[in-house]
Amino acid sequence: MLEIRGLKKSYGKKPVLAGVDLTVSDGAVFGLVGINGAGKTTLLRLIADVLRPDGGEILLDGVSVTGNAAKRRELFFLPDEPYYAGGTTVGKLAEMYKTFYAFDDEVFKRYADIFKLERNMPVRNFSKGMKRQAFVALALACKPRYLLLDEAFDGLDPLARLEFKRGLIELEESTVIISSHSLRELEDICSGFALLDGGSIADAGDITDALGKVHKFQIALPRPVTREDIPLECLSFEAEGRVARFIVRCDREEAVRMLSALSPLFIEEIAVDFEELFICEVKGRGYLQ
Amino acid sequence: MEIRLTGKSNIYEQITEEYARFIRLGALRAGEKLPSVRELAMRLGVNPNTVDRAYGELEKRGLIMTIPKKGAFVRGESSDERYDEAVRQLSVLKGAGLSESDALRAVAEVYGSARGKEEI
Repeated sequence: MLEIRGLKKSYGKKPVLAGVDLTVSDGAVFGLVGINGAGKTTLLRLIADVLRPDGGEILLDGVSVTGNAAKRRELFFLPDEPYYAGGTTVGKLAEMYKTFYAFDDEVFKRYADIFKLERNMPVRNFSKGMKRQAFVALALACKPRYLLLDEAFDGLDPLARLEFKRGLIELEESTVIISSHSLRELEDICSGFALLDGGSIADAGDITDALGKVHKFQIALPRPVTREDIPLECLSFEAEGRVARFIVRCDREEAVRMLSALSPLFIEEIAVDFEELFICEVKGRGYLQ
Repeated sequence: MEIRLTGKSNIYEQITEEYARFIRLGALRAGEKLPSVRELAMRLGVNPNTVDRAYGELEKRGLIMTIPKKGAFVRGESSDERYDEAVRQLSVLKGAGLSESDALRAVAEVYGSARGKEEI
């Protein structure tokens, strides 16, 4: 289990994390979301012990990771732009990781084949997506107890994304923490999520539960609709003549009852996806417009 | 008022609706086995918890039953369920303005009843 308590980090005078508390249970695939600059990468770097916190603690199975070389071996951190030595090849990287992790050759070979990796070509000659695929194959083969992925799906094509997600499902023993802006992918693969905002966790929980608490309706009234017509607090609202579309956070039956009282021409429920929920949350917190 | 769910729904609902539809349309029949939770999760690239939840919903609706360590199986569909579905569909059409005589004419046409045809 990963436990983070009161974690603080500033760059110079600029606070990035101002007290993060987070628990991720064993075997979870956990999504870390937030707008650009929210501190997702900083949080991952702190968990990976690449950065030192200014305050608070990070515990893996009850033991602090900060400056703990033994715990470091239980972690695999795949940064947005992984570092590699100039002339290195995928084959050489695999040899290097073998000295550090319980490397699974069979898994590596399978993903190297799926991604058609050139094992003897210098990694620097790979395209962005190819590099990403190479490191995904290496990360999956390392089978770490904790896998930290920054901008996990960036640069991967849809087929590679699917294979990557399958690989993550196969890592039954690992706890995976993914930061990404590909909310569609996170909705697929993650059970839990945390929204990082203003230096702390603004919202966290189960993605399906969070989506179950908001409802989006499209209704038409016999007259033009305005926001004031809707007897519910709207997280988002847009209207076009007699038709309005809005998202509410309340009990579904209750909402339907209230809306039916308006004698609408029709009511439809439209499913809300994680991306839409994210936009609502972030807007509600005063960003974007 | 009947409320229609439109647009792409979340994955959990998609899986639930897809299998509910397969069962309703006879693409999956009583006693047949659904893929295992892990198998389906791997195929779709979705979290196994999501598939598990969808199966739970199908079970709650009485469409499947899960036998521990054996998997999920389609339950026998009773004619009551088909009747209920017909009532549901008709209620929606009634709401949209379908008259009783038109509804009866449609029934006659679907079932090919001679009397119905004469009246048309």
